Amino acid sequence: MIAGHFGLATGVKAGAPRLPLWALLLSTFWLDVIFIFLFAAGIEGLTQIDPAHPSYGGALIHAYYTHSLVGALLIAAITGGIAGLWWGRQGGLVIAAVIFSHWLLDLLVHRPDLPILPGNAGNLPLLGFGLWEYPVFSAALELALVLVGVYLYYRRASQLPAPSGVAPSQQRGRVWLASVGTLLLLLLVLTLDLLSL
Amino acid sequence: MWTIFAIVLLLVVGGWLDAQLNWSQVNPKSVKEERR
Repeated sequence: MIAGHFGLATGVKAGAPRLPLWALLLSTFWLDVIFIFLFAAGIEGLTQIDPAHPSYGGALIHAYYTHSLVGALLIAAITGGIAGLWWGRQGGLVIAAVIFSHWLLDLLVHRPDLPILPGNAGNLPLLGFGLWEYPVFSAALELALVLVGVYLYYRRASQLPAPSGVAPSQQRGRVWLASVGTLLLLLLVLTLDLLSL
Repeated sequence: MWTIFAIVLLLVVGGWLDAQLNWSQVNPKSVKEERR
């Protein structure tokens, strides 16, 4: 899941309008950003279930630090604390919640490959409800998150007053541009992910 | 690789479009009152 995470973050903007959208988008993907660095360092990795035909959701992810339950909570708490220095306590809490939402959504779609403790300490059962086994349903979930998220964003943005010197019609145009532009970019991400490009 | 490119595009362009709106003028109380 990629676009679904971003769709959720876009919707969160409606409830936390003072946080910049880029920060929410980055937060929802933060575990994967750290994963990319650990992947490059050979600490975490992923295995295609069918290496000859990589497909949407067709991977087992060995992210035993970034995507462990406790690891994700720690990353969310630390990053949220730092974000709170810029955006206040409430902003930091929202950032932390959005970061952890990544793990919750991954729990829905991943096959059982999410550990509870960092490094899979104790060899506890791996978690994951495996919605990726049914790509149509997981893609539908992602699309729903994108559509609902952008709708909530648009609805909230429509309530913004026009700045002085900006005509109401021009303000409506800006709201449309931001909403439709973000929607198209989210759909692009979803399409490319579905095509495994 | 293309997906990563699209994600970067989303962060940069989506973030920029969002920044064009005057979110700093949001007054949460007044929005709640409007909904009522």
